[in-house]
Amino acid sequence: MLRKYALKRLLVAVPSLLIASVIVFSLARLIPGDVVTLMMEENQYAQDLDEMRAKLGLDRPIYAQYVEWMGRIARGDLGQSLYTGKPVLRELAWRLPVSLELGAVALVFAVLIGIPIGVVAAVRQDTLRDYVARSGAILGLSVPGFWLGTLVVVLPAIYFGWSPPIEFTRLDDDPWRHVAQFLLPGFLLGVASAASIMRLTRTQLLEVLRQDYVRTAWSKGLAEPRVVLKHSLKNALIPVVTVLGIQIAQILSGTVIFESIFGLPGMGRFLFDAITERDYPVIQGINLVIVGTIVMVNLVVDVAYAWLDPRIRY
Amino acid sequence: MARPIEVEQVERWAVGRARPGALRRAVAGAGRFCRRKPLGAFGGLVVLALVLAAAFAERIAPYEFDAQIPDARLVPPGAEFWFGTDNVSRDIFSRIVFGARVSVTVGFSTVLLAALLAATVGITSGYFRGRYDIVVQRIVDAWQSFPYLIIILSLLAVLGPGMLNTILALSILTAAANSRVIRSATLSVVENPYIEAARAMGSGHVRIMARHILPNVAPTIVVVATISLGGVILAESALSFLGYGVPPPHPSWGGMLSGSGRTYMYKAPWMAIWPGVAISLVVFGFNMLGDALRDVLDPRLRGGAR
Repeated sequence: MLRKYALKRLLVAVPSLLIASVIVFSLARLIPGDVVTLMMEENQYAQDLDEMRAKLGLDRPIYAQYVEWMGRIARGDLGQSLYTGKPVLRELAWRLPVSLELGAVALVFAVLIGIPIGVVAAVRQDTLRDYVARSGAILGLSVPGFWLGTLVVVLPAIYFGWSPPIEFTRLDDDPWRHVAQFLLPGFLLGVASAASIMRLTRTQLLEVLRQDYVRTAWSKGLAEPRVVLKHSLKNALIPVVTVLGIQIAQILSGTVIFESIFGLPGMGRFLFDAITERDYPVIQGINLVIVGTIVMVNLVVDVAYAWLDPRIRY
Repeated sequence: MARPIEVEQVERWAVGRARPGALRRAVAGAGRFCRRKPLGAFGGLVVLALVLAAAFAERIAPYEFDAQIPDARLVPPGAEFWFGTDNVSRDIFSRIVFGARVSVTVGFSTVLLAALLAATVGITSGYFRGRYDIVVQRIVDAWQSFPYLIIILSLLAVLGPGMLNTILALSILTAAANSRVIRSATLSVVENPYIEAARAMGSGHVRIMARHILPNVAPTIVVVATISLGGVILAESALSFLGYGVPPPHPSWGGMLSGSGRTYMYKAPWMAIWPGVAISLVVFGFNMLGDALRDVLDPRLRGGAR
């Protein structure tokens, strides 16, 4: 049953991926003509207009371009950077792990902060603690991450003469410093997600706590931690799993900002530099990798959802 | 441009369609809203302050946003310059006040455009269902699977930076998310007998959607639009911070935190503090107002994944 559902869900993911690939593909076709000229003159990406068009893959009928592009991608060729001439895939091979590490740290912080506070807020509904938690969550969704990042870099430098390291340390050079450099940006990146997770945990847990079987658990004389953590939280967390997919997309967005502020050579920074250089093959390649990742994450999340909650069958 | 959603207007939705002589009821309703949702009322106040600052920036700000004041470089906050001055001798308080104009313009135009798009897509998708719905929803899925900042930056890389392009890119993305909610509201409205009655009386599709469905999903449209406003303003500031939103010399709060100013922030931390405070406060206000509105207008939306 579950396998059948997983297969069905996989089939639905295919058209989403295809449409997303068309969107990514169309990006380069939207470049205004004068910009192509500008790219030639300013960045010297090509000798003349024909060569420029050929490099951007604009020299053939549009459907042929798409089919050829997809064919190359299927063979693992994401194109070459116009700026450096290096294959996009090779560049991503070492940059993607940096972003994934940052994202993973952020997600861990988001879950470790969001769920416990959400539980406390729900169990102590309408008390001071609940209000503080809820206002704090909205504040967490309101404060721009790039501002927090800027303050964390600037203020300690002024008052304590200390600033976070902005040189990248590789894993094989110094494992401890390698992990440590992700903690601060990861925490800041996770704040907004923690707020979302806290809000959802709270509302879901409140709903579960009102159900009959929970009343039964209370009347059996079970202690509060057991009722809340063992009987209620398990069911309340199922919908929280589904928003993890959305949160991962949010966190990937944030990597662009935090990698720039903290000098981490990840995929987000790569994308930002590519946008500054108008390096369209790189932009397309990164977008495709990101969309693919997110469609896959959502697929896994949906199947996990069905596995966790057997009542769900679409 | 959209008028701000004021508490009275909001309450009018909650107590039913406005009838002649309903002013007193609206005022009483506003009072009730403030008592029941103090944080929402606080949010409304922040939003009102933002709109006033944007509308009367010339009267409120002591200096022009690009005026370079002689002998006033990097002055700390004080009696003369409330928020201090920046590295090219401009008054930061004045720039914050004028920056409200950018936030209001981008925020409200984006949300208005997105509401139009989302209502069209959401209502037709929920009304016609079938193959059209499936195709449209797959496209919405695909848009939503892009992380917002990444697709918008990529779009702006192609279209070029600027206020208009920022609004266009942000509204397409906001519309995709909002159309989902409007579609599900439409799905439940379509089930009502009065829709069938309208059809039996010979109303066409357009008439049914415009006269019978739209008024019934309008509260949902207002709520999702208000809730998205905070996010849109936050996104605009992030884009301007990265240098792809509203170009200088227009003072965008996000832009004030980026670029050449960054190196001076070590000497003048107030340059880094005030724009961020402004963004946080305004987005906080919109989020509070949006949450309270949702509880009052459309409790079904409570507990949404946000």
